Amino acid sequence: MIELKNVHKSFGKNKVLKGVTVRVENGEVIVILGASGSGKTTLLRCLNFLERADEGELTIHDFHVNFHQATRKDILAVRRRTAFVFQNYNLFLNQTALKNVMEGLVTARKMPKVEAEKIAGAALGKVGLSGKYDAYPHQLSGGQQQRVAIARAIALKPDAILFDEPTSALDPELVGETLNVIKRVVCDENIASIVVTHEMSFASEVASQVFFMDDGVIAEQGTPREIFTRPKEERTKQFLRRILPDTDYQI
Amino acid sequence: MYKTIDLVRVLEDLPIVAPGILNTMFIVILASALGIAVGLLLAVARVNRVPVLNQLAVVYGSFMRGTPVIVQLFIVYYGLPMLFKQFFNINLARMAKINFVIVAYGLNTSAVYSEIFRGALSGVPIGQLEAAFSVGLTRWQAFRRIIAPQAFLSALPGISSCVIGLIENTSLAFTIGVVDIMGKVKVIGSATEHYMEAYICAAIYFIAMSLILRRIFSAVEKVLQSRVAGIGSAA
Ligand SMILES: Nc1ncnc2c1ncn2[C@@H]1O[C@H](COP(=O)(O)OP(=O)(O)O)[C@@H](O)[C@H]1O
Ligand SMILES: [Mg+2]
Repeated sequence: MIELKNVHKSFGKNKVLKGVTVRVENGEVIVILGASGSGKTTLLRCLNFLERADEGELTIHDFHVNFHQATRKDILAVRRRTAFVFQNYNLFLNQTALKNVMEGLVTARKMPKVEAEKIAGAALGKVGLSGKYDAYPHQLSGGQQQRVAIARAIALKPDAILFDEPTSALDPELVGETLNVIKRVVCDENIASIVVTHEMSFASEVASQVFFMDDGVIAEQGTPREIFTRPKEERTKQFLRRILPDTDYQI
Repeated sequence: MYKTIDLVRVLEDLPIVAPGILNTMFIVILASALGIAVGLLLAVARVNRVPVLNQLAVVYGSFMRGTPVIVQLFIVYYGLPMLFKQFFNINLARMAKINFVIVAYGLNTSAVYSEIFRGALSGVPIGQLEAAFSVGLTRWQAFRRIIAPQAFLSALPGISSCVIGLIENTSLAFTIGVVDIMGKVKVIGSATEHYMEAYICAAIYFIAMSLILRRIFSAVEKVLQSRVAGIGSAA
């Protein structure tokens, strides 16, 4: 279980998050939608302390912390319970696929190499890259790199995985396979997943809740069916009309 | 009297100058090690904008780059013993001269290395650090495992030219009486009055050393960068 409560974040005078609350249960997947600039990335980055939120609380299972009071130790603890899948993969460029997946296990968690190798191998197998252990990032396609990044995330057995537009940097023909891998891993594991994506079919199939973010707040939330077919808020309707121009939905 | 160049004498001088290579290499290797270590510290201070250290690093850098290396050599050779005597009551007068040369060149090149490393460190994409954080690495672990190795790769061409440049620069060490290649040349020259042949000898050794080092560096670069393309000069 992971819960963000009343998260606030400003960059200078620009108030980006104005009190966001999100809760995800184990084994549950939620999707966050919203126009570019609405604060989705900032929310995920605050959760992982890549940005420091000004206010708000975070709970991961039994672990609880106030964003503005978090110590270095708290931050490390949060990062070791969560994993982040970045829009542009961010694989370690100086390491092979296998080493990328092993890094968090061996260096951060002090796991013996042999054991880490086994886990990393299994994770790469899960994302369909068993043959690519020794490939460096530049030898892999974008889709393959993102699958390594997903393997790197699940190998850590985190309580939560945060996906920030995991397919938006990919060529269109690679989006499908990557989404399939994500579906497989988020359903397999006993983890809470937060996925920022505009892939509606993915959201419909996998998400139990869809959160629509606008101007730093959750403007509307509900099941994919509720959000996609019966949005209540005018701004949700407008947003959906823009990204789903050809789909008819009832009001 | 007009002297001609005696090629036989050049050949005779070669083995006499040869032992000087050891001292030259000794200076180059140790001064580079010192320069790289200090340069790395300065670069880290500058990239992370460590208060005070950052400003000191800037001043230090402009002093080192703005004064001739021979002036620095003399300041270290004559000044350091005075300083140690004055403030710590430690007598450095009996220390081997070559140590002063190593310190002088180490400090001199550290300014260059600090620039090389600063560029290399800030050239590593911020996403690499964030990914390291996201898998639970501490700042130090991220630096050691992810940032430094990548920065090192892109710094390699700069390191290479700095080391090779240092080979030539060490030729001033004889001015304080260190018997490196140029020191041997001076010995031969004053004994035989035939300086030119000895200079040619020195030139041959300097060229050979540069060529060999250049080869070694480019081989290392090739191996590393063929594996990890997308970092450094390939980027
Ligand atoms: N590091 C930063 N410094 C200043 N402003 C930022 C920073 N990161 C994001 N912002 C601003 O925060 C707002 C939300 O950005 P972001 O969270 O990336 O939105 P989204 O992911 O929904 O597109 C934007 O106005 C952006 O300019
Ligand atoms: Mg974003």
